[in-house]
Amino acid sequence: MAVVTAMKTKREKRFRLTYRQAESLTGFVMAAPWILGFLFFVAGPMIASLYLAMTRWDIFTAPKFLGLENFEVLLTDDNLFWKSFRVTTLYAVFSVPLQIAVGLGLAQLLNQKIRLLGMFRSIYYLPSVLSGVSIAIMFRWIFGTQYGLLNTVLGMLGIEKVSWLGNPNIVLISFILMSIWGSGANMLIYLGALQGVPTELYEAAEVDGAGSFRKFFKITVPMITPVIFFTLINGIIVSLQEFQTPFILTDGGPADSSLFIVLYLYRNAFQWFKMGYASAIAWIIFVYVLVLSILVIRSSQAWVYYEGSLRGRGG
Amino acid sequence: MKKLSRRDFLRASAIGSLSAALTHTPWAGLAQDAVTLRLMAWGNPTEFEARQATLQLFHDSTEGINIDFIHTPSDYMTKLLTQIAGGDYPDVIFLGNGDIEPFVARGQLLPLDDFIAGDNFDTSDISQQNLKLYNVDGIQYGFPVDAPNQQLFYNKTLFDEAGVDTPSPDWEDDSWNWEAFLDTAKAVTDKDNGIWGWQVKTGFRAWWIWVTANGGEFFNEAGTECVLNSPEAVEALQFLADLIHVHEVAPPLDVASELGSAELFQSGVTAMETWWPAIGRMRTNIADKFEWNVAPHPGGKAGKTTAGGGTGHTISAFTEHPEESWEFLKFLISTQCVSVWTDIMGIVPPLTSVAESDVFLKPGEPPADILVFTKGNDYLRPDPRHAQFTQARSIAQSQLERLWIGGVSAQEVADDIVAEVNRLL
Amino acid sequence: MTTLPMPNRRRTDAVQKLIIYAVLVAGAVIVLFPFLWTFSTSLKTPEQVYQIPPQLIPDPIAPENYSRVVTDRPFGRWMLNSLFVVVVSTVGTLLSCSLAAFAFSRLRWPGRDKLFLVLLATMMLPTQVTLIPTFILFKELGWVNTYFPLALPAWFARNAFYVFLLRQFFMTIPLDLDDAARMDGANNFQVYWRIILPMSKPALGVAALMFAQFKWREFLAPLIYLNRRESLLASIGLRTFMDETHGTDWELMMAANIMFMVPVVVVFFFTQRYMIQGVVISGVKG
Repeated sequence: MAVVTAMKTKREKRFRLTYRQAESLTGFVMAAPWILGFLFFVAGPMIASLYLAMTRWDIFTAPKFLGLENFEVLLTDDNLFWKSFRVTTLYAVFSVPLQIAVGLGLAQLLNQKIRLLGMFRSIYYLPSVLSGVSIAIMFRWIFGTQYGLLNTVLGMLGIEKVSWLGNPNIVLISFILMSIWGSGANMLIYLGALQGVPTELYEAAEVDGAGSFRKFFKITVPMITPVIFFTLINGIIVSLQEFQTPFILTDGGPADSSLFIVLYLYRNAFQWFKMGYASAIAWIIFVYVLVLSILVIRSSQAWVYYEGSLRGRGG
Repeated sequence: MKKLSRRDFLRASAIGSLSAALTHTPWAGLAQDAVTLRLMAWGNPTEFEARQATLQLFHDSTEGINIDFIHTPSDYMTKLLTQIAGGDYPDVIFLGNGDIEPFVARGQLLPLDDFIAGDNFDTSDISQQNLKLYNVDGIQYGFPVDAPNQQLFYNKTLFDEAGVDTPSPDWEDDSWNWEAFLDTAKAVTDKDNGIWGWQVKTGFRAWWIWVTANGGEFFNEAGTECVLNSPEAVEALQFLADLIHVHEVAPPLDVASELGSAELFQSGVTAMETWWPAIGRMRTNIADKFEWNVAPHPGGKAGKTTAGGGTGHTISAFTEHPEESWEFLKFLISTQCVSVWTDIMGIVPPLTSVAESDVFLKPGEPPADILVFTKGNDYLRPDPRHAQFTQARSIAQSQLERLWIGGVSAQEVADDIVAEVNRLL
Repeated sequence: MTTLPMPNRRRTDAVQKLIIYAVLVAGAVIVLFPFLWTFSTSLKTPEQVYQIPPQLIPDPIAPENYSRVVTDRPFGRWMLNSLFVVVVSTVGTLLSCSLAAFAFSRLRWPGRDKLFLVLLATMMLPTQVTLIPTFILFKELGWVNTYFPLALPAWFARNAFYVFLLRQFFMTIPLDLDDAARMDGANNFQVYWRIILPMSKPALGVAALMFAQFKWREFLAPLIYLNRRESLLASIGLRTFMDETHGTDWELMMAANIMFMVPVVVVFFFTQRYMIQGVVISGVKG
């Protein structure tokens, strides 16, 4: 036995260098699909898009180099761009925290000795499974003024008909309500995290006479801040890229009051064929996402609580 | 070892068939040596039915030319342009008359003049106003598929119940003006029973009729400026907005948008509406729910007008089969094909002979004054022709939503539109 | 908690429980009712759709809406097209992502850690930045109107998240196993294929489910790349029921919507344990 092992080590030693080389080679080969994909579908297009952003190009004729003109026009002379920027930001500012709050609330409710826990969890998660086109189409029908479900239910409660998608002052609220309706994904993530919070902490707090509210804000929330941090970043990225919901629900209307920035990009690129201008919009979205993410990451040092034991759990 | 290579073989063939499936499957029933033309067109289910019937006709009557029909149900212009941008040109393109100019400007359409001259092709039966829409600088690029114009449809049953006179079908009758229209709309509106006199449609042509009837324009003649804030245009837009907010003879915007604008009239909620002459669908949808008829829109300061103009067939400049495409185009404008199309669609045909035949007139079926459409061709004011029109229209449409919703004046909105559009020019 | 024998405490506990259940049930109703409403609309005649007050249970019911969905428009074909794209790209994602995940978690090679950071960064990249040039790339290749633009990137691990997910899982498998296999003469590919993949079936399952779900409802790419009526995907086909000028056939659109949702719900129903686990892992560990 010992002899065999010795022999193997010896053999390994002799081929050690080539073995390491072989491993490196295999590593490259195995990662090659991703590396190629990264070059052709991410890095290359990004460079190309930066170049395009500095041109005027209708896709049919040769691009014309403009330098920074597109950015200048966008930032100083395009009301619609600023409108879409405001719409998107407002939506993100309200929908992301509300989705977190509702998700957290639901998770907290479910993180008790509850019967039918699995059933409730699945029901709340259902909208996330189906999100996208079908949900948008569904809500187009639910938000109807005359025949919509929401106004019918409100009518039973004696509340007057609301023009959910037809009033420029209300339409964003409708979008936010719809996003809250789909808070199930956050709930699921929080629930996983809550189950990782050590029960001893609660017991200790109870001995100190802490009530449910204090326990929630002093223990639960701090303990799962890493997860909240993750959902916050993710929420920002997703909400700033909202496209299909406004595309299907309102097509940006009424009077551009739900013109999300990606919808404006889509119109420029694929309806008016202003590929250069649209690429400039794409880069502004990219920088905006980047800046917000960095701000959140920077701020996280102040509010995200990292504890080794927590990070290991939950999975 | 053997086993492995067999598995490899299976894998390779799987990849092979996969890539075959990934690229689209070739048109079935391809005869040998036959030329396949690719036709790109949009169409709702009714138009799809008409398309299939006419293609079948072509298939039965022609040897050696197959048609691969690329049917694009929605976002047609986006789809067509992305496909063309991809270097993938359909041979025959279904194109709205307003889109002809940009396509010609980009050199994407084949001039037909040589074919017309070479074949001594007789175009005299084609409605001249509509033929002209496919002519740029004296060169013919296509033939119309229809000759529709938007008219005023009214629910005769509701008019009779309210004891109100129906609008005159006579294009020359000056008494049918905006004032008369407003009185009529007020008289047939019965809000307690949920009946509205009119519906302000938000589509471009639905308000364009009113602007042109009052002498308004979208661009100045040189196309260097948007002039939608002229007093004539503003008055027309304000008149329409007032129908909703001041006179309350038209329902608020979201009521209409929830249903899709066609539903209100067809379900007897509005007594009058602007509609294009796809009468076939109207006939089946309304059936015997109520009696209905058509009339011209009321005349404004500049008299009566109508909008529309329809769609045509053109040939791509990059086709590899110009001869065959021309054969197909000739078929599409033939009496036989137009008759089948008209019969299914119930749309005004581009051929005078068919427009005067029972295929279109369908005696005994509504609308009684169907000739309003045929005569309307003389009053047609097609969409503005301008390279930036697509985006300009989109700007105008969004801004006008503010007007239809209420709370702003037509002047403010028109000024905003002009400022935005002028930035483009 | 219950060690304190106070009857008062128990009563408040019971009341609290009751409130919790009430809230949970109310929430469940809010979540489920729209689906019920959609289903109800899908079984109505056009007249019933516009009836006030609306009926929840239509009488009579119009099941023919479902057959009209596949006869008026080729919705069945569209569903099959979607299924095809989903299957092909899911297989591609699993293969390419697990290969990369293996390389990133179990092999040592120069530049590995730096590249992994790059990979993490791409997960945060908004897709719009690459949208237009990618479109132009595929257009130059003549692949507009084919399924290549939708399926091919998956074979190159375009969705880096799944590399990350699988790597996290592979890291939990002891390295000793690889060494033992190597001693038996297995090369790295064999270790990957014979040892790691079979041991990672649950993680691969989760990745497959999450990706397939995402692909099934993908919207922007098929919207841009597919023009032909017969080659549309179901997610885009749904929108053809919306017709501004001729009126939307709500009952048909809702029937199509139900048909579109059912496969997802059925798969979710049978695999929810894994899927929920997947979300939790990606969230908690992310």
